[in-house]
Amino acid sequence: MILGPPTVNWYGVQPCWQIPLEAAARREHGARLRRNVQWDRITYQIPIEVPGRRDPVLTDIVFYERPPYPCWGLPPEEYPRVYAVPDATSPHRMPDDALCLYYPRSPDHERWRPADGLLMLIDLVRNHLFFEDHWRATGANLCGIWLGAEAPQGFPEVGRWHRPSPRRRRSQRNRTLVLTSGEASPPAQSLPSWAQLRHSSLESSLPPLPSRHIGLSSKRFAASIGLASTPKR
Amino acid sequence: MVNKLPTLEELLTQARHQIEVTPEEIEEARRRRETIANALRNEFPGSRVYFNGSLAHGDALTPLTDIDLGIVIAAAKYTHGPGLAGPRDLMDRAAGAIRRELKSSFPKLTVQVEGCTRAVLVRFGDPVHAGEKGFTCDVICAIDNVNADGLFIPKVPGWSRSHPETHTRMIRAAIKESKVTFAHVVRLLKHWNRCNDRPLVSWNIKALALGCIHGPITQLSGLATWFSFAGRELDKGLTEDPARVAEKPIKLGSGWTQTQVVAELRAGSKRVDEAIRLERDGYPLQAHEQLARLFNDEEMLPYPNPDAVREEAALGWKTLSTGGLTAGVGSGFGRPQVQARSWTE
Repeated sequence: MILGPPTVNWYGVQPCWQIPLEAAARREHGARLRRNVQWDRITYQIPIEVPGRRDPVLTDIVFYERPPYPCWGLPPEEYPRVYAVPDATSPHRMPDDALCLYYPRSPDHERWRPADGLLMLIDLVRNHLFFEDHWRATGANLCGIWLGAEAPQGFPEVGRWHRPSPRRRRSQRNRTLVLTSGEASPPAQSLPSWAQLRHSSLESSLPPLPSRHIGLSSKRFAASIGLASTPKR
Repeated sequence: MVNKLPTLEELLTQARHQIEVTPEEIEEARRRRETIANALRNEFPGSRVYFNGSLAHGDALTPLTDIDLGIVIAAAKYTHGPGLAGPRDLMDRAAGAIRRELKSSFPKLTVQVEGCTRAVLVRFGDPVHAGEKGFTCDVICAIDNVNADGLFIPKVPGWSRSHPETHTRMIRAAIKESKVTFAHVVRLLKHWNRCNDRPLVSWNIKALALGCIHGPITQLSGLATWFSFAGRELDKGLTEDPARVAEKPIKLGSGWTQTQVVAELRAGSKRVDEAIRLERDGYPLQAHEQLARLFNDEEMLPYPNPDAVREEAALGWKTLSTGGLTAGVGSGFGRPQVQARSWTE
């Protein structure tokens, strides 16, 4: 969590960020797409129609200036929180019930970025909600089928993926990524950056830090989320 | 035995039957209309009566709650009109005549002139459709326009130009030319309008239909044509009187802005086009779902079984997501998708 006084110039309040982000979504959804700007966050609210659901699903997409959740090294604008269908059983939800739409360590083309536009994020949410419905309809935790592609749970460790223990997850909120050395075999063929991550310094392997957006220098930002320290091995 | 799913056209026909005015309602409404017409003919000898509104245009919906008629008062042709006398005394005479001649048949009848700018309002206090609160009739006291086409109709304290007789003629001609499909499409659109907060007045729906529905057409094509045309036309400006007589264009639904109405029409257009595409691509349940969403009325057009829709969509998704590429579901179909992998912390 990044604490500190609010800034007035963060990315979410900039028209040059909002306009291209919203353009296609506004054309598609018109006045149904609502924007609520607060000093530290911008929330888009949109009712999303999902096949097989009688009523549209009211969805909140929240971009934070300084997210109160770990972004796993991504700039906050690339890792918004998306809330829909509260308390639904799903294999892909965050601890705070947000939708786990994509693995933050995926290459660019496998995760949403603001340059893709809000419409693409809304489409991604619709797919996710449809996959959740289908998963529940086909047996949920017993034998439910997830139609879409899935990344393994948690982060890779010693050549495999693991779900961090609650204690470690708490520490990740400060440290963002826990890396351990181990076997050289890649955990899965669709995890391209993992081998590089293990052999390079943590900071250099991360995406560019969003200093221009949140008014912090890269160093201060990294230090504030504990990235400047050597990763635990 | 395999149950064949209904086509969209069949669904629309079934749905339309749910909203069509019943023969009993029509018969009773016509009887009352004729009673009022006779009262007016007696009061204003030599005048002609005309009928307009949904009953006269052949697109009335159930429950039928009102009718419209007018009388063109011959004796007032040179005494009333712009620059001469206003309509109020004629409206009072019409109201008195209706009270006199109908009170015995309808004990709860009330006839109102005070506060009415256009028409004498007749409340029968007795519905023609069980369950409704009442039944009303708007009576217009008009005079011929001696200098130009059309009539002068009241806009108390003065007059405004209109041509209701031509409107009815135009609508009837369109119904005949289209072999009744004009009326079918208008009925469906009027129901869409009332289930979606009434962005348009009924007359605007018909005026726009006159501009785009020519000749026989399926209901589905009619809807697609109308939504597309209406969105484009209202984007350019409000709809002018098709008879080219009224000074002002047709007003939008109460509380609606032009931008909002255009957005609503475009959304409707997109939905109908999407339903057509889904049916063409072999997804009848999702196509049905789109139509149900359009009309937003379970009683008129029930939603398909949600599990069956989901199953169909899942099957379609699997078919379309080939080569490791994820397709979009629902309205996201056909757009580029983020090839994301769902995750858990």
